[in-house]
Amino acid sequence: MNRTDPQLQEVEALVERAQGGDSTAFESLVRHCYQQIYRWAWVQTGDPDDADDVTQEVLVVLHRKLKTYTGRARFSSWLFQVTRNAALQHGRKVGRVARLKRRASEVSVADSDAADGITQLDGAHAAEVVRTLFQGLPIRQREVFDLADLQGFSPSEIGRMLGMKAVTVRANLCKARRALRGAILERHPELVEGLTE
Amino acid sequence: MNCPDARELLLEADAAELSCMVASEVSEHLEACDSCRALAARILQAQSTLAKELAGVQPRTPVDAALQSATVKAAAVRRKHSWWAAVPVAAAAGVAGLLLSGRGGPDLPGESWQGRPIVAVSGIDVEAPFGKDVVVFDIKDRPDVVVVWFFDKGDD
Repeated sequence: MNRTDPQLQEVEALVERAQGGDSTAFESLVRHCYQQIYRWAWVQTGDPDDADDVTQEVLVVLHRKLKTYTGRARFSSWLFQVTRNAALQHGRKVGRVARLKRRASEVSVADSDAADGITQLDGAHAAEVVRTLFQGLPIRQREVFDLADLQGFSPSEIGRMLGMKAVTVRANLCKARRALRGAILERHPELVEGLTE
Repeated sequence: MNCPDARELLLEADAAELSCMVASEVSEHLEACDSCRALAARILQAQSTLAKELAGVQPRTPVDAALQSATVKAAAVRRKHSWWAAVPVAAAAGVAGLLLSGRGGPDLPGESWQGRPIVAVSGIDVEAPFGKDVVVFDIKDRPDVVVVWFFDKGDD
C-alpha cells in the first residue's frame, strides 16, 4: 500500500492499544480502515450491497479476533485476508456469481444503448464502462490488478496476502492487464478517445 | 521493434514502462513512435480513471452505525459461544445421570426387562449454529440436566 512509515506506525500503535482493550483506539482503527475494507470488499464481491455486508462482517471479526493478530505480517495484509475470507463466505451464502453476472449484463445493455447515441463519452460514463470491464475480470485477476496497479502493493507483498508465489501474482497481473486493456481497446475504442484529463 | 509488436507488449506493460520511466524495449519504441506513445498514454489514462473510481467507492453504511452494529453482533456471538462451552459439560452430566440412574438392564441374565424411557425430547428451544441441526433431550428424574445434540444437517 502506498503509505508512509509514520502512517504505518500509527496504525500498528492503534492495533496494539486496541488489542489491550482500549475501545477508543479500536474505534479510531476502524475509522482509519473502514473505507479500505469496503474497497477490498467491493473488489471481491463486485456489488455495493454485498460489499457493505462483507464490511460489516469484517468489523465483527475485528472485534472478536483482533487479539489473534500477532504482528508478523503487516496489519493491512492481515486485514486483507480477513476481508477476503469474509467475502468468500458471503459469496457462498448469497450466490454472488449469479448476482454479479446479472448486474454485468444489465450494465452492458445500458452501455451499448448509450454508445449508440453518442460518439464522445463523458468522463462519468467512461468511468462506469472501465469499472464494469474491471468487474468482469475473474476475481483473482481483479484483486491482483487492484492491489498491484491501483494500490501499489508489490508482487511479493500480494503473494503473502493471497497465499501465492510472486511469480503467480505477476502472471495473474499480466492476464488482468491484457484482458482489461484489450477489452477497452477492442470493444470501446471510443472510450480512450473520449477520456479527458 | 515494429508497432504491432509494441502494441502487443503494451497490453501487459506496467505503468513505469508505459510512461517511459524505465529502460525497456517498449519504452524505447514509445519514445520513437508518436502513435504508440499516444496509445500508451490512453491506457494509462483509463487505468487512472479506474483508480479514481475505486478510490471513490464509499460504504453506504456510515462508519458510526457500522461500528455500533458490529459491537452488538460481536457481543451476541460471544454470548452464544460461551453458551456452547457449557454443552459438553451438560452432555457429560447427562451421560453420568444415565449411568447413575441404574436403568441399564435386568437384574439377572435372561430376565425380561421393560425399561421405561428415561429421556424425552425437550420443549427447550435451542438455536443451532449455521449448517447444524439440534435436538434437546430431557432426562426423566433429573430436571436439572438436559442433553443438547448438534448434528450436521442431512445426517440420518
